[in-house]
Amino acid sequence: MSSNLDVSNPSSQSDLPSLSSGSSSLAQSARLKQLNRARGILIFVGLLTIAVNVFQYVTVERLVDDQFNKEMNELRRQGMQFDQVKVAELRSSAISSVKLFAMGLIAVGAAFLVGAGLIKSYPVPVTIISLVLYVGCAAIFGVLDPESLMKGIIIKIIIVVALVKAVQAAMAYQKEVSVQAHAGLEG
Amino acid sequence: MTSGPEQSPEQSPSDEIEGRAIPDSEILDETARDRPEPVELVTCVRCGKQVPVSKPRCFHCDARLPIIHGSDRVSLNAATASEGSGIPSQGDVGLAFSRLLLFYLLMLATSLISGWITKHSIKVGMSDEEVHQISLWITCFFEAIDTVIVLIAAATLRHVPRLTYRSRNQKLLGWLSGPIILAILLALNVGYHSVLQSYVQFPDWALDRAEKWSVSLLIVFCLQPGIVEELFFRHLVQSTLTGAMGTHSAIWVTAIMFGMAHIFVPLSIPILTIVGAGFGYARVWSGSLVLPIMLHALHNAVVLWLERAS
Repeated sequence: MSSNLDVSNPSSQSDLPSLSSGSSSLAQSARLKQLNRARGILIFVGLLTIAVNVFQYVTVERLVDDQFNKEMNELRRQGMQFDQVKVAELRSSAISSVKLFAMGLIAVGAAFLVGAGLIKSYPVPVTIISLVLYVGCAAIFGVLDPESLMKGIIIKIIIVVALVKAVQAAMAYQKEVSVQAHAGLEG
Repeated sequence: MTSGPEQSPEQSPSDEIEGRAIPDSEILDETARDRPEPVELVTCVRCGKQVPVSKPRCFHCDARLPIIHGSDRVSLNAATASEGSGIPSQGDVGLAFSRLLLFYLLMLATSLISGWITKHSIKVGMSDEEVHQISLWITCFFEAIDTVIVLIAAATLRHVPRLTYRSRNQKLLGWLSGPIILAILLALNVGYHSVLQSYVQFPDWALDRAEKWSVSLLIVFCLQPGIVEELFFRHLVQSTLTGAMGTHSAIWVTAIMFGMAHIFVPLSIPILTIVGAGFGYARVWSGSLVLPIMLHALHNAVVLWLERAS
């Protein structure tokens, strides 16, 4: 794995290494740009997730009551009747579940913000985890409320594509850094 | 006792006089003389990547390399170092992971579709038996689709990197730790759900009555997930990511993907991530995919049994 440059022959120490290092640094700057863009996305998504879920946590009772009334009206039209004691038990349980879910999403938002801070240090794990968390959360919301998948679909696709490109840029960036580190050790 | 080979010009007359058969290993093969010196590699204990043994520090993660003796050294011929070593280039890892991501998204999509179909198939007024039958058939169908997706993923990834080298003793210890890992994961899972239930207080009458044991139940909820999910996550994803980020990071990132794949039980995702990490460590410590498959299937079987026992 040693360098094959013949130091006795000056012509072997050509301009090619500096030319290649120039093009390499251009590629590296493009990758850094991708990572910076991903950092911006993580900060935006993280802050938005935290804000929305703090609001949901605070207004959980009203949200649960609205949803319960909507479903009960639908079932009443089909001729169903309700045991109010059981409805109250379910309502209490639903409020606890939604609060827990909102806290979990606040933690996910915080994870996005932490990832934005660590993206330069650990580019590959941070970009992959961010992408998986974002897509996973979108899928969970798709289960709970299928109509939510189509809301803001264009923005969601843009975010996913940007995160996928960030993963690829992170892997290439890390490869370049490790090659440079190896060359430094060899030299 | 084999007959000695034909005497080569390099043999000394004294050998012939003494009647000693010249072993094949002493006869120099001309091509062997031309072979490059073997490059000795050692496994970095922090990131799990292969590093030339002459380096005092790992050039991937800068960890100080310990002195390793005997069978822990991996000697590779330099000419074939990149072919059979299982050490992919970062470019290969990026491409492989992009493909795996696509298959992961496909599996999430099939989960979503199966949930929607199940929700719309179950009508008000149906008996528990009917609900369970419909759910089981829909689950079977979509698990078959997931199996096909994973098999296609395995076929498209022609080169899956090997995990960190483990000696025979290390693998044996890994296997022996299997029951301990299973016990810890089950304890954590049961404890987590007990705490969750005490907070959420979901009424007992609202929970689905568990269906009876059957062979199809064991296949759908224990055997198929054990084999297919471990093949995808612990073999394809974890092995691919180890090349990009080291062993521990790959285990935890894979575990997060595994947890997030369980979109129908969002409140259980944190504990399922930890369970996934346990299977990941079992994969690495045992050096085999069989142990995590067994742990996964047994874990699901015990959880199903506990649901019925309670």
